[in-house]
Amino acid sequence: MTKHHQQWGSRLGVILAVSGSAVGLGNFLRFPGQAAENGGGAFMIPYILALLLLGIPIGWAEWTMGRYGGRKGFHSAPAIIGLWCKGAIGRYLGGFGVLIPLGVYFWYVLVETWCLYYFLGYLGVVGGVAIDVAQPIAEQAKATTGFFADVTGSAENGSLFTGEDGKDWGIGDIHPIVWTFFAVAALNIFFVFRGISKGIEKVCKAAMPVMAVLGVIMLIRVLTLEAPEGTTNQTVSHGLGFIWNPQLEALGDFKTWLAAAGQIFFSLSVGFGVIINYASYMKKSDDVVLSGITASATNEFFEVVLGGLITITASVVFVGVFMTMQGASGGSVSLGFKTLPMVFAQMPGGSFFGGAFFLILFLAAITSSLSMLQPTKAFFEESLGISRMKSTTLVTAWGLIGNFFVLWYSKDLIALDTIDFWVGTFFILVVAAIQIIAFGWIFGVDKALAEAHEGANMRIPNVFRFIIKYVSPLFLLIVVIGFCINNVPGYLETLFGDTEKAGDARTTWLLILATIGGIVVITAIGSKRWRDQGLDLDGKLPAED
Amino acid sequence: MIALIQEAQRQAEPLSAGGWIMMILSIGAVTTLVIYCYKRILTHPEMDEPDLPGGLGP
Repeated sequence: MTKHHQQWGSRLGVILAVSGSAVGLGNFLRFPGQAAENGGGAFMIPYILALLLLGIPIGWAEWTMGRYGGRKGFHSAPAIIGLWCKGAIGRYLGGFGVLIPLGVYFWYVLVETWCLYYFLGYLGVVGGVAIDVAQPIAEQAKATTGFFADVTGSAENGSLFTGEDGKDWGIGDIHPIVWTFFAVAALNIFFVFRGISKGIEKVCKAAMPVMAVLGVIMLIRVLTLEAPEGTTNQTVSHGLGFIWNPQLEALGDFKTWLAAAGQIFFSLSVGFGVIINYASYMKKSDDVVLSGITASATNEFFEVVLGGLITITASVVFVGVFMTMQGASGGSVSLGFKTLPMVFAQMPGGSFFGGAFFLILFLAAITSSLSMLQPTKAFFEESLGISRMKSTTLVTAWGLIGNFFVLWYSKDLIALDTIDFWVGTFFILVVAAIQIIAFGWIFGVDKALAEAHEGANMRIPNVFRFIIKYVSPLFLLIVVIGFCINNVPGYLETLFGDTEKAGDARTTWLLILATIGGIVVITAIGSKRWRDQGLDLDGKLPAED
Repeated sequence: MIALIQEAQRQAEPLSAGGWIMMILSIGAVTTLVIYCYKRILTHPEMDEPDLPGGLGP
């Protein structure tokens, strides 16, 4: 066996890479919408509790599990979770830690492409959204909705490839967004091929400060806004009041607590399969405790400070509370791609600020999408024993199949939505549950915390021994049950219905099942290979020092 | 739709004293945590350990 051991160039590099993975569209678009819908300022009480009881403990578990796996020579979720669960069941369940980043990459890179396309639109490189600010807001909304439908092909399956009449197949009939997608996919592949320190770390070290600076510029602009006379008559104070005025009665509603826990959970990228992979490239003397909390804090800065002050505030000032509520209730995509372009159209210097905003979203997206490819690439390398070039080729091919599937099944964005719900949301809860049980119960909380404290720059407070063992699993169980009751019936109805939408959802499930099948087969090949090499894949030996 | 309009009218309020408190506490707490963490990270020297044995690949 040839030694081939990648490592991070610096501690700051791995922290920014994990933060980059976590910071995404949800920080700027989903968080403020969730807060406004669920009690305003009061939302922060369950939100911070969920951060302390769920996000940070599971994050610490994931960082520790990853670094420990790296010490045993493993970098993929199946191998590392198998190690912590001490057997084959954990190893195969760990396959979800490959499925999630790969499956989410199938659609996420397309959203990343929309961000770049909108950015290029503001630069004038491609045709941007044309909004006549003299028209009533409802007409402007029609323009942005129409533009978004055109860019995403949500009117009909295959419409991005077949021109306006749905019949032509010439190169000229392909929508420019498809060519933009090729450029974005190529960028991702290039940086992942360059490896951990020369690719992902360099991108994140450059992109994160740029995002922070642009975010602060946007923030200053938004906090000094004034709506043109005769429009909404709303001020910055109204925008801030919309998000931050506390409605304490919301705290009595279970939905508020569930929304806060869900936001923390998905925002921090715990249970995603990324942190476990990234941490596996750390040295045994590298701190995981302070690094873990720093990465979480960075994510929270982008979410609470920038996300909590910029988007909704600007939206309320220019399009009013009602349109903002409509945008926010339609989810991140609706607020970001349909409502905010109207805001920038009316804002003085709107082209610059619109471009800057979509550049921030694009950078947030690319630092996340890179983190989705790397775990799969590492899985191929160590399971199949193939070179970096071959593993990159394989992950590129698999990724492109998924991307084209989502590009083709674009009607009502059903393929994207199906993968996002089942793979990018439901299975994340499953992986997080496996991780916290493996960490606190199977490996043992005392041994696990001792492992976390190796090389640590700060100690995990003793109270977390109890939280990790009892509170986090119980909290997670409540979140899973509440989430299932609220969401799963609707999605099952869609899946087993008798509509065209249901047919597309079932076809999407074939892609998901094929991906799961592939991961199971490769895990089986890897298990045999690791055993033949005498590696401790069942976690029966102490880690090498 | 009507419910949304009514809710919008209800929420079209300027920032209240409670809103100020929640906003300043939340943003202050997060900003303090970020500054504290990065200060510790940047002032704490990294241990320079040799590469580990093990690792897989071609």
